[in-house]
Amino acid sequence: MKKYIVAFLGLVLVLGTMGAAISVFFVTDTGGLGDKSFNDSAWAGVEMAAKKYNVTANVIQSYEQADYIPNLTAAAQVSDVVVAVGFMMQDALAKVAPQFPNTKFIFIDGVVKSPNVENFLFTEQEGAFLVGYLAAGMTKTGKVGFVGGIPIPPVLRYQYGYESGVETYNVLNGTNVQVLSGYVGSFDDPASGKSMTNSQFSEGSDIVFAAAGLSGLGTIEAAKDAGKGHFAIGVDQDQDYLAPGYVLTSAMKRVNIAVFDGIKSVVEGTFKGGTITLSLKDNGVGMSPMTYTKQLVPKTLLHQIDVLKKAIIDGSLVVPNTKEKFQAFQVPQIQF
Amino acid sequence: MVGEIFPYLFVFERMVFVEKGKKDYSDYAVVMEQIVKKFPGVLANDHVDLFVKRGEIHALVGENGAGKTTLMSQLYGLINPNSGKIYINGVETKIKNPNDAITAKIGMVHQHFMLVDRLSVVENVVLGMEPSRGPFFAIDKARDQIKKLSKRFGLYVEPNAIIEDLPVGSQQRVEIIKVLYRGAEILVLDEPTAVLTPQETEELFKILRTLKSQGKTIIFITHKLHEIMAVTDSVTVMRLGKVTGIVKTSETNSRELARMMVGRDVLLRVEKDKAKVGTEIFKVEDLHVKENRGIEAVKGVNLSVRRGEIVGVAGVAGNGQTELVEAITGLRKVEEGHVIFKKTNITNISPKRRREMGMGHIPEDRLKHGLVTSFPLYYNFILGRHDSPQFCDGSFLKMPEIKRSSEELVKRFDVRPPSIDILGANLSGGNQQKVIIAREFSFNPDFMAVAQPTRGLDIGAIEFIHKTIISMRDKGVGILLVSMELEEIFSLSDRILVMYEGQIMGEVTPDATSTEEIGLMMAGHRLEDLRAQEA
Amino acid sequence: MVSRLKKFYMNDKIIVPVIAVVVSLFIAAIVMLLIGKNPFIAYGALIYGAFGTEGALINNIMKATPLILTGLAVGFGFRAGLFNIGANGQLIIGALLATYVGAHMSTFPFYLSIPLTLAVGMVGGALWAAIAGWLKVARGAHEVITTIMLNYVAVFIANFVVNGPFQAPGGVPKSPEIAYSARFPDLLTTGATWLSAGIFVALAAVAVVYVIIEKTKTGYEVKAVGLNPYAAEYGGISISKNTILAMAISGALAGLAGTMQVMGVYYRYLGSLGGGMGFDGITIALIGQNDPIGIAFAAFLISSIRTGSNQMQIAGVSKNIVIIIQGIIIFLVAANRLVKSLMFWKKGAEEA
Repeated sequence: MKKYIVAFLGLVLVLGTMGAAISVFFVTDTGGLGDKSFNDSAWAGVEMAAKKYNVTANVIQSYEQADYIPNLTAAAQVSDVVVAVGFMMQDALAKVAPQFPNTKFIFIDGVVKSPNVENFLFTEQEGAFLVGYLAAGMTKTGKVGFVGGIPIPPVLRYQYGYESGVETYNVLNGTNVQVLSGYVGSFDDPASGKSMTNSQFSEGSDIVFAAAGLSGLGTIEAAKDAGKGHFAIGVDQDQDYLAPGYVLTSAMKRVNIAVFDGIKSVVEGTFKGGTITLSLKDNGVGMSPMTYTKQLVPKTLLHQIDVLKKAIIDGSLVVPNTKEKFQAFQVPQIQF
Repeated sequence: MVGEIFPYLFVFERMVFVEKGKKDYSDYAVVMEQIVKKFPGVLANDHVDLFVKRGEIHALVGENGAGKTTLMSQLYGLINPNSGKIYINGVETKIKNPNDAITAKIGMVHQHFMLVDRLSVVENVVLGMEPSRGPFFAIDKARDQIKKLSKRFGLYVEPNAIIEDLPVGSQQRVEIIKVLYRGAEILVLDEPTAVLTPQETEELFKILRTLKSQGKTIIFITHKLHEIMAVTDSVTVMRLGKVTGIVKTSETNSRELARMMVGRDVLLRVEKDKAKVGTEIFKVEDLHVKENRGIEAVKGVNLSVRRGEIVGVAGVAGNGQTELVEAITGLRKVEEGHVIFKKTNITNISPKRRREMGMGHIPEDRLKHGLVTSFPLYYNFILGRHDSPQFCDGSFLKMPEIKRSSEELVKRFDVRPPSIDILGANLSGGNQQKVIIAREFSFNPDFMAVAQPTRGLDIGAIEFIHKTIISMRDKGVGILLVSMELEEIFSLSDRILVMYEGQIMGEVTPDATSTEEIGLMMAGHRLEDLRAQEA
Repeated sequence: MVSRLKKFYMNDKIIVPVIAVVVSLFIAAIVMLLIGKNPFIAYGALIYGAFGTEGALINNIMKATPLILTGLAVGFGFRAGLFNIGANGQLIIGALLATYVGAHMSTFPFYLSIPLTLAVGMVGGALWAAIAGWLKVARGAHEVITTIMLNYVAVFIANFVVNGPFQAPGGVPKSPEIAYSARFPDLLTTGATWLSAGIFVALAAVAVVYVIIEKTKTGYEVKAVGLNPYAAEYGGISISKNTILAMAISGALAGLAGTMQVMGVYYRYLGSLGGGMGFDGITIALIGQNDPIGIAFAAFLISSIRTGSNQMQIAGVSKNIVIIIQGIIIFLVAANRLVKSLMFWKKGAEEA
């Protein structure tokens, strides 16, 4: 009896997903939907595609790391395209993807070498550089903070980009702004994010950049609690609206664009696997438009940031993305 | 079978009974007629009748579990009967809750006081019905009224004293004032003497007589026979949920009452031969012990116990007896002095070593120290000896042997219900105590510290426990008996020590002293002073 | 024997959790109806996702393995009257030490390296927990506070170690892999999932804990201390010794849970390996009523619900439903008097 029920349900599930031309399953990392950052951004990309093309959008949220393999497997079994996000999923995807050669995988923030996987990487350091420069120009205390989730490569790129932005400001303006850095140890723990931010505030910083997924929401909350004169800097999505006036800007990484492009390539038949890197030039990363805070920033500072943006795009300024490159980084002479 | 029926026959001869046809109950303050109360699996009150004349002191007696408290809880509206009627002053009255009872002028003094420790006497008495002057609490009004009540009934308490500073006897008086303040004409006292010293008990009896002389009716729950004889006018005896006797106190005696309570003849004073005293096995020298708050509670006690004798320690609760026993058995640190057992100084060795050397301990608080109430009996029977070769094979417990020996103890000590799987918590107090005594004696000790072995038990269980203690004495065990019950000390001890404020006031033998002499020592007089006065 | 088992388990211990599960599934079904989902399809998917395929069963068992062990850890603590909230920290320390030793086992044969790695993981967890036990005995510090604080210490130690001195190349917070000889053999492989022999270790732990609690002197002493420390002391049982011992055994079980993840799942120490498994242990011990066998069933219940929930998401029902179900189960088990009063109410109705 049980066998029949099971078979029937299996059938229902398969049939349910057969009607549409292309079925897309998005597997979140442990941060899950509602992180206002990475996962939400990816999901926005899937929904964008679903609106534009004949695509069904589905999501599976992962409760813990051990869910990655089963969730990716389950998704691959019933869909045409699987969207996987997060560097932490790299090992799991490397095991699952080869098992399903007929399913296409879109992977954000890591590289899995398999012909059916299209990897998207970002030059996070470029956006982070700009917000770092802005933070250094805006601080009143001479100290700014950085709160990371787990020190994995994409987060490290944010960190080195941010720190080199601050250093560039110091060199070009003759200041000595310090950076306080720390890691929460997870991407899904806003409480710890908040307490780390509070301790950075109490050590004298007034602007804290969080590259920590869901944990970063704690940073925004801490800035709001600390009141006037304190700012958070958001990450991945435009998070300025979460606490208007307390989020100075956000270092954006357009995961939604990447996901949308990936699905589009499948729909249009141009999917070819391999690795695509999105940068400032492609509008893949950047700074938020500062809807609530732009009026606080001096015109000259905004101008300098525009100049730096152009320098990065034309290649005359290369932002370091690893520890080694950061240590070797020489601030170029730039005329504003 | 004859023994079962006998008391009924005996009772009906002399019953002070109102024929039911007439139903003129106008002389009676309280009549409870054919009360039935069922609990799941138990018939707690089986067609119980209770007749209490106006202005008398009526004893309601019976062993634990006989249904006395259940009956009174229905009179006070705490629970409701399944069937039966209640008449107050001859009028049928429905008492659904305590408010109905207060309206009917019934007051109840519970065994455990319902007082707020941190409030004053006045505040406690008026709690719930504070007199007011406008929006303000008129404490002076209340105080005056309490002073009036105290004077009228001889209930002397200082109205402004804080409850926690008062001795137990005074706290009880506050409870009684509280009930009177609410206008009670009928007072129910649930085992009021369980917590009192002999002197305090005498005081209470005086108060009860005053209350009676002022027209109040008193129902007095107890299982102490001498108290019934001392203070009551008539008695209702209950056993196993039924009434087994209704008698006038003047027409009965302790022996008869005991028989009605237990359903057979009871030895009120245990029979014993003269002690065959052996060599000294245990002594303490100049023992000093502190209580929990760090104040010295035992101040230089010397005593010794020989094989084959019972040394009784009398005294009012809280004079260092608890600390003395705990120090002897290794549960409390000794500050100064020595404990010597079998010629070895054991002052600082662990309870475990003491047990291995042959020391037993029947603790004062059976629920706190004596039993693990969530353990089944077979586990409780090995507590303290669970790692002896008899029950433990290196690291594994020998379950078959544990169960076998437990079965044997349950049978030998008549523990009821006779199941070794039942949890300690599910036994009655008497059976819990039997388990502890069975366990301690089964370990074949040479010396045993026995504290309050019969506290709260009914006379059937007391008789059994007293016999057991005597039989162990006769086998050559040295026994140190600490008890607040003078009766018990007198009937068991071969020598009596009296303890007051951490010191021994004197040593006497039971046949060469009197209750009065011991009472005076319990109140702080030294034996040598008393004897000097006499001479 | 059968009747004894029946008598043993046909009491509140089993009835309360079973009623709790049934009631919570029912309430969750109502919630699903209210949000316009079909509960039959959802629960069908749940069952299919937990038991329907070989892969599902493997996932289910793999998830249950550490949960059984953390459940045992917390449950054993409860039996000794100790509230070990620190299973997570003990798990992390156990896993970290096991990884370190396991990574240096390449020259050892499996029959040495597997037991050695296991033992090191257990000892690590035991020592970490014993710190809290010692603090309680020597300083009177409550274990709830100390174990929580030790959780943080363990997390930060682990983060430091795998981000620095013991980090695999590649700039990722994870340790190098352990030697092949220190890995549990795979019993079954389907797709990208495999069944490791770790489940047998977990089941063996259930049996061992059962024997310790029910059949040994240690179990007797630990239970006595937990149920009534005064009576235990009176009976010559050392409270200090047994408190530390009980914490150590509890910690060893938690350490074993972490070691299982290292030797059978990840083959290395990963950044967030602990997850919330130490805390899940509290839930599981509660549902399993601190009975080793009950805990094994409770762990499978939770792992089944979680494994099945992934399939439920494919059927379009959010994973939050599963969190609701779990929450209601815990609520009802914790408020067991409520469930019992429901039962009595039914009995009373029958009598009348």
